[in-house]
Amino acid sequence: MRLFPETKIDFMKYRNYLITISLIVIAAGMISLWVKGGPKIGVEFTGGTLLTVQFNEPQNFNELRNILASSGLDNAVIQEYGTNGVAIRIPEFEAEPEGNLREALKGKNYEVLGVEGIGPQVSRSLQKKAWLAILIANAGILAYVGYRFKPVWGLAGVIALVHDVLVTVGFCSFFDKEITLSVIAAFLTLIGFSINDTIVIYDRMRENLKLKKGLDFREIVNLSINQNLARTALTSFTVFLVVVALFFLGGQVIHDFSFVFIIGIITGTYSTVFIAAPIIVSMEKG
Amino acid sequence: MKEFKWRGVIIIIVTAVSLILLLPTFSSYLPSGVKKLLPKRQIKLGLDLKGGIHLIFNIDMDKAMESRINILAQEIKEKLAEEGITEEDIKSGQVLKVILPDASTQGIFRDVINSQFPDLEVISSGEGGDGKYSFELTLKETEKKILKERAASLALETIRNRIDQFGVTEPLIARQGESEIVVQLPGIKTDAEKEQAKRLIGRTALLEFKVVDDSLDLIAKLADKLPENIYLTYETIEDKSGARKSVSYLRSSSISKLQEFLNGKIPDGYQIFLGETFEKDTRVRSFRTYLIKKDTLLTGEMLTDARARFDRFPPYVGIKFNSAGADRFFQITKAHVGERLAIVLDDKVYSAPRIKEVISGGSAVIEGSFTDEEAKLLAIVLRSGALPAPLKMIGEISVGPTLGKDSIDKGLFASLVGGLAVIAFMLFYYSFSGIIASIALVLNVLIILAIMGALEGTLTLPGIAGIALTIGMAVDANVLIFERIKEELKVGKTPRAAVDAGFDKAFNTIFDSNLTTIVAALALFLFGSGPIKGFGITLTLGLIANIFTSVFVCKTIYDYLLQKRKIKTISI
Repeated sequence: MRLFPETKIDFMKYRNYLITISLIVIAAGMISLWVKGGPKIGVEFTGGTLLTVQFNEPQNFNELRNILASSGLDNAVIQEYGTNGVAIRIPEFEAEPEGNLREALKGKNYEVLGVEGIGPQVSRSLQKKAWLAILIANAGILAYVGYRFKPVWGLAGVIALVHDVLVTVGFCSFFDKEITLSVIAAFLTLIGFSINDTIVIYDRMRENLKLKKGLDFREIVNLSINQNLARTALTSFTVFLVVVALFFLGGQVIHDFSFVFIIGIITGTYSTVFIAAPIIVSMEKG
Repeated sequence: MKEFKWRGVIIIIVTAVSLILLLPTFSSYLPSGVKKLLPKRQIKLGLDLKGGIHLIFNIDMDKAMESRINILAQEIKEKLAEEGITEEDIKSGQVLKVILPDASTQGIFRDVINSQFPDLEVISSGEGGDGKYSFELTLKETEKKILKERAASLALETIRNRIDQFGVTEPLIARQGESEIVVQLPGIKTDAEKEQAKRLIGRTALLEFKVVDDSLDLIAKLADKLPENIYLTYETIEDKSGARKSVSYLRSSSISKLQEFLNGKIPDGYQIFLGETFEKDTRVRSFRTYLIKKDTLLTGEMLTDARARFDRFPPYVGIKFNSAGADRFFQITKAHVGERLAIVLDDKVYSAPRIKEVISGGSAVIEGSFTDEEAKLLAIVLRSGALPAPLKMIGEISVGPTLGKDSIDKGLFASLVGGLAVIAFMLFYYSFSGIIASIALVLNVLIILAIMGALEGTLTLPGIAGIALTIGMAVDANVLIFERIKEELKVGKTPRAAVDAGFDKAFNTIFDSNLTTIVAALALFLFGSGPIKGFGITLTLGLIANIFTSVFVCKTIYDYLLQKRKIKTISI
């Protein structure tokens, strides 16, 4: 079967428009972050206590807030969690948060689904580890791609990755998604996916540089992208199938992870063609 | 043709080994005769899938250091006395401060330190101007390191002992970093069990026997300045000679108020310890003071056994000393007949019975208003010994059984749906070649799980997501190959030549792209924590397996079809 006809689209012609669109999307994300006072950060990185509680009937949030306040949990923030569930976030780390909760929710029918209590030491170390993982991943990619292809190509690839992360962080802000440990994992996976996509094009470019000596660099890039168009569409589509399944069926815990990754697939595929490739074209010219 | 046969054999062996490695994970469905033949190792489920608690504790290394310096301070005192020097002041803490009344003795002091206290170093010294000379000493860096190392391994062992005796299935107790201890208890489900576990692990369990001083009328002197919520109370006791006498203590419902009020009012050589008390009529719980002589006469180190006893109400804990401890206990009771002996556990007085007569045999009881459970837990912590330094809980992640079950059900279902959707699409788009790709996919997942089993890896919810993603990414390799084969067919190559060229040309790309993604996945594995690590593991394994299944396995199947079956066209 063949759904994709042979194409000869001049992708590089549109690069300035598309880079502008990217910049607008990133700027919108940054503005959203600024308006909302920075990204929402999960309890594992800020420290504090997060209790997820399942009730068997819908709860009135105002009532719940008052009940919690009257039993000493006055700075608790309540959020909806699944159906009839709530996530209660307390800014301080408490060693035995259920004690207070039990006192507060006396007479109600509930079950504690999970507790995440993170002291300042732990949150600091998790923050450090998250940054380290992102840095190491990027540095490793930069080194490997630079070594296998050309340093400039590696740099362009990493710029595309930074683009993907910025766009996704912006979307997280639009949709009020918290940056949690699993969202960080999703970021790293999207970095993996995006670079994977970029390298497939790079490989084709390297091959075409050898085969088609007469073409100028811009034509080589265009040709490589066109030749790989079917593959790009098919792969992105199959990965998309999996992630959409995780998003809708995977339950609360991997919901945010899949959300980030859905955005990541789109921006990862896009950034190869419209960020990494144009940068190389500009640099190889100059 | 010979080479082709070998490739088939390799694939069959890999598949068979993977199946054997994976079987133990599903051993509950197997007859026991078969189970014995299989390897023992199997995939473990992460806490997020099976429920349980994950606790992070920090060992208070400063306290461990302080108590070491405290002991050294006592020894220095003794040594100086032997040299005929009486120090004016000796204070211990993180730093040991000594003031000598006569500057001329500083040389002797230095000699004593250098020759007999190799663990210590002088960090500053100087004349006070009034003929006095002061020193500040601390533990040497190497010594601090050894001390921390020892404290951590001792704490680890003590916690392991306690948990073993408590009886939790599959606990994981590990050191993390310099001073942290991680405890994972998958068996813990209910709130009550959780609280018990936290208390069991976090309790220092430092048991000390000290003498109460009832002769000093310190408390009564404070009586006229009492702040709100602190009350002066009298009790009648028998003094040394057996005569009845009335002594006073302070009582309050707030520990912190009592501590704040008494801060700085206690003379040298004494300490105030608090104990719990119940008001006789109302049974309201409050705290009371005991004025206690600072010297510790005996500690829990010399215990051989501790058991909860239920032969009277409330339950109590009976303890037994070893022979040296029994001897010490005998000496103490002999020297302090008629006085009250405070049984202090973690700086709290549990009881302070009067020593009526000399006690030999080395057993004693700890009384308090215990519930059955509390008495049992106390017996366990006393049996397993004191922690070398206090532990502080700095993090907790717990997953209730409902959430765990929900996660595993939904995670597996979503992955299955995702995987089947991918296979359906591949069959639809690549028809017959789609079947080959699907075989490679299934084998890929099989290999991931088998390696996880063999390494006793932990499968977490993000780990399941990692496998699902691997399926998506693994298809990429097949797509690359198939699209290449199509291109080659279009320029007029024979199926066999097109397949060879397609695999050949796609290989470089697959190798490069998988390896770069592995770099990202490895970063997750090495620096990620908890569930993220599980994700990194499955993704890394999946990508490695991918190079084998998509390239090697698929190519072999094609070769078999084209060369042995001599098919003339390929449907792709």
